[in-house]
Amino acid sequence: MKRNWLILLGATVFLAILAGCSNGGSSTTDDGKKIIKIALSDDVNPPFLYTDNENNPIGYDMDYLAEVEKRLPDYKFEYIFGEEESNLVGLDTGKVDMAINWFFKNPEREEKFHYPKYEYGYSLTSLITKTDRDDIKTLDDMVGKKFTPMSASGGLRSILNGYNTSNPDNPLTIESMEHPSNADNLKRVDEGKADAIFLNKSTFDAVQETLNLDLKVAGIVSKEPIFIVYNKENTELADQIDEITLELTEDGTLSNLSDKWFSIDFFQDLDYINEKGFSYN
Amino acid sequence: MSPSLQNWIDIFVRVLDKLPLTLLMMVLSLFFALLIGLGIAIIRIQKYRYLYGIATLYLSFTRSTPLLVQLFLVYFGLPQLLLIINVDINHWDRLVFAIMAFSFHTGAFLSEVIRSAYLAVGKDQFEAAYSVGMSYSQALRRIILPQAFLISLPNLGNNIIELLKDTSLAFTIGIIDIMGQVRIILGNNHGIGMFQIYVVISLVYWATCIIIESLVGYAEKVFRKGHVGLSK
Amino acid sequence: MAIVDFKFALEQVPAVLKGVPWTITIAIVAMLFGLILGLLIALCRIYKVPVLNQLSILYISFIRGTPLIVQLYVFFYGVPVLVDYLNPRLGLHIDADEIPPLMYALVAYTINTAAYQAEIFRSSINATNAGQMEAAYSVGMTTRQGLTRIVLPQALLIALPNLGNVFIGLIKATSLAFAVKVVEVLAISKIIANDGYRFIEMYLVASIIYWVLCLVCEFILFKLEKRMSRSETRMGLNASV
Repeated sequence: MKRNWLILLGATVFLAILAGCSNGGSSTTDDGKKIIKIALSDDVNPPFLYTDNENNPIGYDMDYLAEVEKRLPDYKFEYIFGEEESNLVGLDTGKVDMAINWFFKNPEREEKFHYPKYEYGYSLTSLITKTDRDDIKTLDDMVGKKFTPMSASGGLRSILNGYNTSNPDNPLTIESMEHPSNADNLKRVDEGKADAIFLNKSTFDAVQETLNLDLKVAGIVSKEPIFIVYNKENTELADQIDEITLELTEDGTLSNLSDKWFSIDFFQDLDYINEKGFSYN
Repeated sequence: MSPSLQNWIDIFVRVLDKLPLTLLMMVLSLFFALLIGLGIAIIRIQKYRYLYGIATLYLSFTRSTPLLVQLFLVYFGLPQLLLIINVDINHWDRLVFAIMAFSFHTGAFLSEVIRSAYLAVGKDQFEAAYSVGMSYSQALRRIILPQAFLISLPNLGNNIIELLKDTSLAFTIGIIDIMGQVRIILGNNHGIGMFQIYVVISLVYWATCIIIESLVGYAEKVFRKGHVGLSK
Repeated sequence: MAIVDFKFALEQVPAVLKGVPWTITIAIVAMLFGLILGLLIALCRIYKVPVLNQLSILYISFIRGTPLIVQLYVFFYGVPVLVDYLNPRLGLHIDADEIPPLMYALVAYTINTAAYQAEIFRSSINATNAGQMEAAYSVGMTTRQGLTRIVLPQALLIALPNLGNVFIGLIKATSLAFAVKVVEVLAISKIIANDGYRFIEMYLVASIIYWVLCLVCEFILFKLEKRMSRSETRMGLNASV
């Protein structure tokens, strides 16, 4: 049948185009400097990464990258906003050289992309509950309880998926939705419609500044190192940036930046952080 | 959360700020889509042997896969494919890829609009034109196309509106159009006031669409002037 | 290094297929309710029912003029606002969070598709010759009888190809249902993709599933149209005899 033949041909061409997606080189040179394209997620996360009124990216991530760029005389950084999923496809196909958006590390992801050795910051993943509750401190306490709906993508989700993989008998119940609103979700917890939300501490703090809900950090689940991710072929650039990251960590630049954006130096250990006001209970 | 009037106006202004980009994408895509559509329609009407099969396949693919997939194929897949023959287009602006994808998508739908309008004019019109001594191209230019254009106008209008709405996908590849602006506003304030912001953007799309509709309606009126129906 | 890991993609197909019932449920239910609602709206417009006619025009214009994803968001975030507003005034205790996501999706997709179906019905009813209705009256039928026995069966036949297109569009549109928490084909794909960032593989799986679904529907529609038009030609033959 002619129709079937056409469909078959179509499917083949479709697959061929996808299979043809082999890694491309990085972008062209301009005034002698090599342009490095960096993907930024539109799912912005103040104060790590957000935008000013002219849509210029600002935040901790950007200050860090600016420091890195200063120390790389041969490169010029160019920033591109996009949906996180499409950013990662772009990284895969060589459209961009690296992506920054508090990426957490896990073995599956390391198979796909190149992760640097040194982290450039941390995120405190935490459980947020109502102030008067003290039955929830760890993820174990959340078994059989209700989380707010969360995004399918992102590191937070991966931590919960990981928990479920290692605890198949007592899994957490996770509800998914596209682009949930953190503010709405926090209100849900405040109104008692959900028991807790699993969120980055910094996000909670930022939302609290505007909403001031009756909520608290009930428990820090982990202190996740966050990374830039690179295309597998970009190891050379990654190594160069790795060295600079180490330098910036050692000379205190990153500590200062952390202090500037988060009013806390998250390069210190958790005990110190707890004392300084991330204390819970 | 009590969205004050000032707040509404601020969001409105920030969204409207990106409207020109949305319109630019729409107009350029429409132009190229018309060219593609015309080409495909001619191939399908004249039934060129090999091209006909390719055109049919192209129609089937564009009509039955989500536009997002097509956008990704053009943005991520096409440069890789061209790299094989040593053509590097990866550094092209994202806008170019978006416009390519939208033209490719809308072109398929427009080709059907053009084809059906051409067929709707009817063979007897050609015969009548030949009988008064016109050549094929004369008949096409003077008799068939003016009528076909008029017939196709309402459908063309519908497709322009669909195209306008389709451009809201451009943000997935990083073009900050009105939809992208909304996503960034929401990210910056952690999703406070989702309802308010989406009401604003729906009003912007709606108003744009009404303007397009009235333009098409006006065009119909203007072109219909020369058209005298049998019933009159 | 090949970017697409076909083995991985293939292994995930069964998991993603679990989303297909959701896709089909949304498409079919929205289509059916859309048919009823669309027909009523079309009749309101054809008979120029005061108020309802103007409301219909406004409604159709809004649905046609805004992207579906925006409509979904307005609906999803608007309902809780509405519920909060109504609860104290009507003495209700509805919790918008307790409304199942599928409900949101079904209502939102019905509202969307009804607008398109209304326009299709309107044009196909108009395309049925006005003389048909007069003939119905002349043999003593009421307006209702004339509509249900004479005009609508013909209009439905004229509308069928367009309704088919709307249905196929609806299937593709269900890929947006994740915005209102329905975990359908594309949503499952995204969830699986996240752990290892395997978005290309999962988009590939999802788009092939959509393509196959659409082809199956096109095939059924093709058969249906053929069948319907066969009865049409037979009628034509009888008339000419």
